[in-house]
Amino acid sequence: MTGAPKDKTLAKPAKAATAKAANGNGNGNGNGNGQTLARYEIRLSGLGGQGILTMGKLLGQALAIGHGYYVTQTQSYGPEARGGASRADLVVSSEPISYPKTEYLDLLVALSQEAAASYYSYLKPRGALLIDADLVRQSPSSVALALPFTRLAREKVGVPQATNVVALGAVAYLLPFARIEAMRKSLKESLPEKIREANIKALNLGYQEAKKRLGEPIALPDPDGGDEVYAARMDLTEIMTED
Amino acid sequence: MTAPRKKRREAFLLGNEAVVEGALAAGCTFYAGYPITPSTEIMECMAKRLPHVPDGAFIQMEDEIASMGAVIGASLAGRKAMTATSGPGFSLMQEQIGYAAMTETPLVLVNVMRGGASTGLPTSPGQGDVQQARWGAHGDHPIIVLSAADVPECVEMTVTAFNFAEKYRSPVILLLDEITAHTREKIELPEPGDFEVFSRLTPTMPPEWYKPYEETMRGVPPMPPIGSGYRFHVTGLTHDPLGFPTSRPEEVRALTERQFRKIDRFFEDIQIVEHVETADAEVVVIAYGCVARSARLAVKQAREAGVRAGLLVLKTLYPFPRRHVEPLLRNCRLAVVPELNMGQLSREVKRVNEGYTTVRTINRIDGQIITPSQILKEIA
Amino acid sequence: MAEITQLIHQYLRHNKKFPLVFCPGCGHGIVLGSLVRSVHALGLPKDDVVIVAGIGCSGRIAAYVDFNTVHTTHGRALTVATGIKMANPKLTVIAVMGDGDAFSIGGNHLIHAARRNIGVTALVLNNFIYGMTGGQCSSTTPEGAYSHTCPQGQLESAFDIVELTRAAGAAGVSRGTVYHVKELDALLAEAISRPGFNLVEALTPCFTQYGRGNGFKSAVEMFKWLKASCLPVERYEKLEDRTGKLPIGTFVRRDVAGLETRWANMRQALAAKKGGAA
Repeated sequence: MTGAPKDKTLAKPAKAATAKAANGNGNGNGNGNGQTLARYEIRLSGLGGQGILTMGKLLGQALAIGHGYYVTQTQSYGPEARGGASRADLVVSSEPISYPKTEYLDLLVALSQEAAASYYSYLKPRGALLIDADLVRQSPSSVALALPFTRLAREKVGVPQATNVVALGAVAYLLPFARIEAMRKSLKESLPEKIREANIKALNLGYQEAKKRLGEPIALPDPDGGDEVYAARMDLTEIMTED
Repeated sequence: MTAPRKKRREAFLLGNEAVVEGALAAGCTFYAGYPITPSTEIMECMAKRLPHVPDGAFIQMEDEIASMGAVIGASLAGRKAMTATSGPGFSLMQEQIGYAAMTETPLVLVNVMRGGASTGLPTSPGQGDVQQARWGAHGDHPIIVLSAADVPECVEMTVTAFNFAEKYRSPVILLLDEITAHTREKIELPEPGDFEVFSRLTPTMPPEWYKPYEETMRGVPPMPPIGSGYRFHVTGLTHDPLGFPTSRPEEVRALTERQFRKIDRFFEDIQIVEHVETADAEVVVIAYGCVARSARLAVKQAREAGVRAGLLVLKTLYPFPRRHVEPLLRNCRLAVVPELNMGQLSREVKRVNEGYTTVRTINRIDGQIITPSQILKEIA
Repeated sequence: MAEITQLIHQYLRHNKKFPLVFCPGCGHGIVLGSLVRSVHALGLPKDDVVIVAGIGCSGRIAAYVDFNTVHTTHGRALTVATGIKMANPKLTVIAVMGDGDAFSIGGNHLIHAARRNIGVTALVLNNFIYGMTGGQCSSTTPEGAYSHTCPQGQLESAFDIVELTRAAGAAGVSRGTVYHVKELDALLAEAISRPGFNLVEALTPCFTQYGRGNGFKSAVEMFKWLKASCLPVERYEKLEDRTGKLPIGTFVRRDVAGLETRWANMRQALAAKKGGAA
């Protein structure tokens, strides 16, 4: 086992002031967040059994109820969800979401080699890729954020099943519009007492590890700075046939 | 319809789960069903909830035919009852849908449409059951078919489905698609008073005066629950006002005409649509279900690009909202009907159009949703 | 006679035109009589009795009796009956079906109703034939018998209704005939009063569609055949040669709560748990 690659470049422009720092995260009234968000797309992916679908639901719930964003969360259904590829998609916005599926990803979380390889092409040019450092041995991009989620869950939390929540903690740190307190609250509310403590620990661990090792949170795409590459690749029809 | 804002309970739910919230808010106390993807969460959720609902009853039947039978029985016994299914099960239910229409038994049937014919694409969206929802049961019969496009609408339209079923003594079919059913979104959990809830009228006259299928002002006879002292006959045979089988031409005609009229007369109430920038539209998109969401974005983008585009979202599919569609067709140069089928609702649009304007269809049957850009290509 | 007149006035619908639709010699009218007498003997209020019928000659019985009556679709009577019973367990629900109705098109519903022991009485009028559609074989038509759809004789075996329902788990299973009327009355009354799913098979001749094609000279001869071939199960079991004989009586008596009762108990337990926690 090698350690987490520390030399991977962060997937964000160095100078971008993080919205998180700038906006102070709203005040947690659950209705509307200080942050305006046009349309932010997230895919959580990995293998069946890694808790990807639960992670999608938890993240969606936290962003929708805890933060007050509009969220649509969809996921892969069917036989491929067991043992094979598993996937949960989220669209987050300050405005009502018309098209509920993801088009082009701002953040791709991949907890398996297969998932990283299959979904990398859906990432926007400046989208962020977050991978499990141990399970994705060959990152499709040198610009990837990596943490050993599975190992952290096993060794530091003592519960391998908490991998998804460790990753959720890292996502909570990386998303400039997410607040860890709201995530924690949402997690507490949705989990049964028995497993609550371990999961809160996992969430905090993921958050702290990300803060320590991944640098600044992701910068939001500039809503006014037209992204030509992005626009050129916006043929949704073609994308969705694969989806 | 929404009560003044206070601290509301919110939940992040699947469309299927939202259907259950709507049903319970509407007073549903009975569910009978048979598991089938992609509708199963409705049934599972009902199995969890109904034991805690006053008078709640739930039963898993041996097939979809039996499910509809049990729902009809429960409704005759005075319950607000529902079932949910998908294409293959919907086909099996048709016989009993016809029976419910003929006997004027209120019930709600949610059909979460999958892709393809036969077993097709169980976990992919489709909209291929639109014509079946209208004409799947044999013989002339009126029916109400509704649709919902997002999770909050699943609540609202389920309540509406129950209200229509009770108000018009008719089976009501709520057509969802796999995307709407399997997308999670935030909803405000319904609370008492949020929705106007309608329950069937029961007779006020003494039992010996009661005629179960009598002509009334609204065309909808009152309906007592079985066991309440009004003993009458219910049959799927063509029947007279007393409910007994008849083949006398004048009685046969009177029955069928009343059954159609009780729905026809209230088009204004039943035909629900949403207009999005249609007032000055020269290009109109007519859509329903998850495709309406793509259309919403496409129309917005078209407007931004300078095209006077508008969107008509159909929440009632049948009786087909001609009074909303027709004026738009008379005033636009192009109507686009995107659907996840080979062209089912577009048939109705073309029928209403009568050659006035160009009707273009976008048909997608590969198990994928029609994307905004696909629609945008046709309108901008 | 006075008692019969009284029963007629009390239990048959005044606003329904008689005579019955049944052919001369048909046994269905006798079953109708049995139904009325057993309900009367049990002292059930008419408002609490629901007759759910299927399609076929037997299905027409529902229209004549002054109970709550539902004439459903072919084979589905038990599904509607199940819904009614679950919705209002206080009602006495009796499903009246024919052999084709209950065991061919509705066979699946029947075995599941028996398995889940929904508190419904299934009264199956077995005449071995599809009468209303004009004499086609059903799933109880005996092997070798003639019908319009097996003009060379039935090649398939017939269901033994009693054994099938017993195996499916019904609380009560019995068989009677329209020749042994007093016994049929008693069997039916017993079935209606026992919790869970109870089936009563009533053998009732169809001379028009079955008897004529199978060597019976008259309807009376069919009744004589019932008399000669059917005997109480206790005596039947002592017979050495059972050829051509058929047992009647009650075959299964199980002590099970109806599904509706189990549902109510579960709800009660839930409420108690909730109340205890609060």
